[in-house]
Amino acid sequence: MDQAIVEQGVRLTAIAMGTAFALLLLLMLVIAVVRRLVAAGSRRDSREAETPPGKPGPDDRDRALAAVVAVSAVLEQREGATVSGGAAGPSKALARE
Amino acid sequence: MEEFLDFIRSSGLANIDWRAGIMLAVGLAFVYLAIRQNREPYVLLPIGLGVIIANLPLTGMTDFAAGSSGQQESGIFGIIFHFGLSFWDILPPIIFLGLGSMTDFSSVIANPKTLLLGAAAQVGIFVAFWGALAANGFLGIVFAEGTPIASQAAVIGIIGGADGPTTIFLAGALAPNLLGVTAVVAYSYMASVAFIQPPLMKLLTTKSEREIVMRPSREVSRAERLVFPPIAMILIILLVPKSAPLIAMFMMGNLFRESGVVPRLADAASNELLDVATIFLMITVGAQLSADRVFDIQTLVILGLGLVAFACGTIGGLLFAKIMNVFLREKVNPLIGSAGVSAVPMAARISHRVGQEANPRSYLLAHAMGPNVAGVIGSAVVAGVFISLL
Repeated sequence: MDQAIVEQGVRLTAIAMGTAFALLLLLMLVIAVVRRLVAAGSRRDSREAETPPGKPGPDDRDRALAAVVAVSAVLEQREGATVSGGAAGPSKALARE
Repeated sequence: MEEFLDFIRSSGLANIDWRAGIMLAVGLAFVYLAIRQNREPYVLLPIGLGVIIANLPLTGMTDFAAGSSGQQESGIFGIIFHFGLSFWDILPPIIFLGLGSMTDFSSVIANPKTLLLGAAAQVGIFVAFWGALAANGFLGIVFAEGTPIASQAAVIGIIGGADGPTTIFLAGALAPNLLGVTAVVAYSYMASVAFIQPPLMKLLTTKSEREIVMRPSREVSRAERLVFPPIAMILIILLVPKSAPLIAMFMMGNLFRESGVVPRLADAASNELLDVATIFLMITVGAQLSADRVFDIQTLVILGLGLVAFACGTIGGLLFAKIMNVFLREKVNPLIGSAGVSAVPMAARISHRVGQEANPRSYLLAHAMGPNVAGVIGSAVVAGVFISLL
């Protein structure tokens, strides 16, 4: 066999087989990375979907603040009522409200 | 009387020779196998009809006359061969678009290590490649006059990829004279994997290896199936641009399917378009098998090398799976390695069937589709490298 043909054949075999293996290995890596990214994304989505009751968000803080203001206002009103209206306790005043 | 004799002399009966007669019998045998035994009917029926047409004398259906002086001198299959394969090579990429829209990458994504089995099974290509070089170097066989020997060997070698459209694509690009023979040899062996592979699979694996039960694959998310085709397409084409006609069409077809937003395009690609391309491609390939091209020593050598290539591809996949098992905690059944030779989905079905013979609880079909699809990608990449360098 011609030496030049043999050399060309060796080069072709090495490059073609090497490229096939390298590309398919690269695709393995891509699949692994995409899997991790998708899993991380879905974990974050599920966390957001079911926020635990113990961890308040900004809306919860506003609502709590509003409730505190409302209770304080009621209590203040109640104290005024006690001074002028006799023995009705704070609980009764709140219940009426 | 003289007019009658002229008519007789111009008839096919007066011009047919024994070789054409044998090829007509071969064509009829293909038609018989397709219709009667339902053996690869989408391949064997149109190829068989093409063989019959090519070997009926004086039809002119496979002629091609270039230039304005050749008006009305070209036949339909000559024109399709010239413009669809030899000159533009567009039919194989259209087939790949359809195949992509029928392919589910879930098995590859769920078990990516099976991609390596698809790469290992490409070894058959290089065994046939070196066999063709040796046949030329030691026996002086020239497979296609006027074509560099490395190109001839590459076209013969790609038969080992067990992928018909890739074989046709590479032959159209590097050695159009070999297109008919190599395509028919590739499709014939693809139709015969049920006979070629099982003996090798049983010979090279122990019973306990064949009995290995693989766990069902994980559920693959839609996001993963959507992201894989474009990323794979970009990476492969960046590295091997000459593989783009096959890889780009394959991945585009797959994205049509997975996107879910263009169901009509996915349906058209996998049905109407694929069917039309298959009709023209297969009949034209069969029509390349005229007796004067087939009856020579070169064709016999190509037949032999094709068989060796299929066998070596099968062996390569099996042995690589066994090597992988040395390093893997969760073993793979080595039978899925043989599916790396492409031949989608026949090779995967054979892995499953042989696995079930050893252990009825073993379901290998989904696992074997991984190397099967990887084999399609691997052989397209190798074809791209050949075109780049030759």
